[in-house]
Amino acid sequence: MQRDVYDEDHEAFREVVKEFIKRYATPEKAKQWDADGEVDRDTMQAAAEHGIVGLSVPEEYGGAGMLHDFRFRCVAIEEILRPGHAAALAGGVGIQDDLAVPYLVHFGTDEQKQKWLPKMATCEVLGALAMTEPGAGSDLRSARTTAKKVDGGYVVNGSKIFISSGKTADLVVTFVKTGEGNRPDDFSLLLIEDGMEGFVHDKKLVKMGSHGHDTAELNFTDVFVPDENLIGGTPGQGFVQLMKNLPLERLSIGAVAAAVSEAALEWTLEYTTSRQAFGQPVSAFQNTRFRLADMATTVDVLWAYIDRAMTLYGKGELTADEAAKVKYWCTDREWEVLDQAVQLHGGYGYMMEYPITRAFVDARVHRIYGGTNEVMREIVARSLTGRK
Amino acid sequence: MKIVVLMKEVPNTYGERTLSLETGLAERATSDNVLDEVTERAMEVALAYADAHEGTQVHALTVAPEGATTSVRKCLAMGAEAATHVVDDGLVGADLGLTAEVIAAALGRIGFDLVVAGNQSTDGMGGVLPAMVAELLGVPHLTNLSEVTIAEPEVAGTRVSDDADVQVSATLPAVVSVTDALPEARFPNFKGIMAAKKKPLDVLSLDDLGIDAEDMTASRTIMLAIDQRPPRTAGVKITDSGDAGTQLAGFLAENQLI
Ligand SMILES: Cc1cc2nc3c(=O)[nH]c(=O)nc-3n(C[C@H](O)[C@H](O)[C@H](O)COP(=O)(O)OP(=O)(O)OC[C@H]3O[C@@H](n4cnc5c(N)ncnc54)[C@H](O)[C@@H]3O)c2cc1C
Repeated sequence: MQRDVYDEDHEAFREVVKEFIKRYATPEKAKQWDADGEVDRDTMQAAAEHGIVGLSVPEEYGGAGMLHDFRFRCVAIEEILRPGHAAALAGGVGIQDDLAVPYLVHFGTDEQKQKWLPKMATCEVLGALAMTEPGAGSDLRSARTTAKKVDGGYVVNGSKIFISSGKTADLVVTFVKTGEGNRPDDFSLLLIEDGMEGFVHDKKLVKMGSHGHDTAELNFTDVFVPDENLIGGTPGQGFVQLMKNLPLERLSIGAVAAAVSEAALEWTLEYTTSRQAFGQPVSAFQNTRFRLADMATTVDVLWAYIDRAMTLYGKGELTADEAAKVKYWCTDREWEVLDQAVQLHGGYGYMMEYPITRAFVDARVHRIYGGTNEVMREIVARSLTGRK
Repeated sequence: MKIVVLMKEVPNTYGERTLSLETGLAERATSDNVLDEVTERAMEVALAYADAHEGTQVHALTVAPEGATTSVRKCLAMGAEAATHVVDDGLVGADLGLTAEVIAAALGRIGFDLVVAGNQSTDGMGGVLPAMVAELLGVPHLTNLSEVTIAEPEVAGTRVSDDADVQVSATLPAVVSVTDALPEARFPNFKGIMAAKKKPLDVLSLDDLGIDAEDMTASRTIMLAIDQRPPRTAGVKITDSGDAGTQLAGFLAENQLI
């Protein structure tokens, strides 16, 4: 179905992203990312030069100033994911633009913005967002990483786990406990820098998929963080700040789900029309045809939903529970599409050299991170009935 | 220094390319139309010079149907300061002579110190347009260059031919054409796309340029008829049983080839 959210600027930008992938994010390079477990910095910086990352940084700090218009981000997501080998780059870019930069743009003090955003626009500084702890995932309020007030700053102790871009990050937006209890105003966001004494973040985790994008464990032992690194400058705002950016994070995951589903449909069409069985292409079997029809319809509906959510987000009207619906619904559909796509590839759909196989394992986490799909449903239900 | 780059939009060589059997023209509606890669390389020559020499103006000039606006914008997004797009129904199916007249007239309006073009387009493959333009403008031309050096008041380069590589140079103003031995062109970035929207894009018609496409006193190449190429028939196979030479000569004589 023809989409109508993009204008000629977005289409021109689409060509930029495609050309970028062709020249800078080749399949050979992606193999290297897999081997290293991270995307190399040169590629991230080249992506920044072309405006593929840094979209959410305001213009006055060297970015594109598109934090409130997700459409360019969505084009980047679509075109990075389409060829199937460059998903790790989509991960790195997404963390920077949707999970790290927004906290500085929305809540950073002028000094914090001046200091970090220009460097984030060029990817000289990569960011990450660290909330999850070994003992606190869905139940974020049981987070135990503490930031004790001392003269001139805070002393941080604790650990974070499953942090995307956690190893490569130079600046981690870290959810810490600055109060005594676990009320919302007991938490704050601190900017913790690579190289601060007592901050260790080189433990890369071995995952089921997304091998080319680092996910790390972070440890803090008596890390001194100066007052100037408290996001916004006032303690106790952490929860409120997180809430404000949740719609974007969830929209972003939903858009990835739609883009991956569309790509999977393209790969599956190509595969089933060329693969022969019983003297005919696999696509000639009625079962295949019906499954492809289902997948194509799902992709249309996914985009219709994402496009609507993008428009609302652009007007500042996408609520947290609407974004929760988008996140769980789109990633659930994505999973069905991918499962079907793998099935239609037969044994080849289980081989890592096929894009569908990689997309399948990469996508498994989409229903887990950014808030699990169960928690998303809980949020939606709460918006309907309250806590009863 | 003002450099004008001649940009051409062509059907993507990697995609479907068909000729309409009715008009004899390339089917633009069904093909993916892109800037010819060699003209992008020509643009790179100009932009690279402009990067290194402040005050250089790079201007893109194209003669193309209305739908080519996306390609014109791409030139601006790549870094050209301004663009001129000549569009006119009277130019549909224009031959090289008419196209050269139009380009020369447009160049007269824009003004130039140097004109850079691709050596030949991937669709028309004429290869003489840059020389024709130079002739009409009365300036020297260096064509088929595999390497270009711009050093005011001169432009120089290596002209490749089958027999020799020739070092050539000319005093500006001049026209040069380049081969695909030149570096791959840069591609636009986000900021380029946004900046392009604010750059001047001049659209000119034949009237604006004072050119009469129907001028019967000029010599023109026009298409009279077009036919589908007949399917290939099986060739003649000569098996050598001592008289292959005679058979071969007989075949060539029969087809009036010797
Ligand atoms: C690859 C990867 C990247 C990640 N990146 C980041 C990152 O960059 N930053 C970050 O902070 N975190 C990140 N995470 C962490 C992720 O957000 C958490 O894993 C997720 O929120 C779930 O938390 P948990 O793992 O502790 O699971 P738990 O909270 O322990 O949940 C276990 C199960 O119980 C269910 N459950 C929990 N509570 C409820 C409830 N109230 N009702 C119904 N069911 C419930 C869950 O849905 C789940 O099925 C990442 C995780 C992975 C795997």
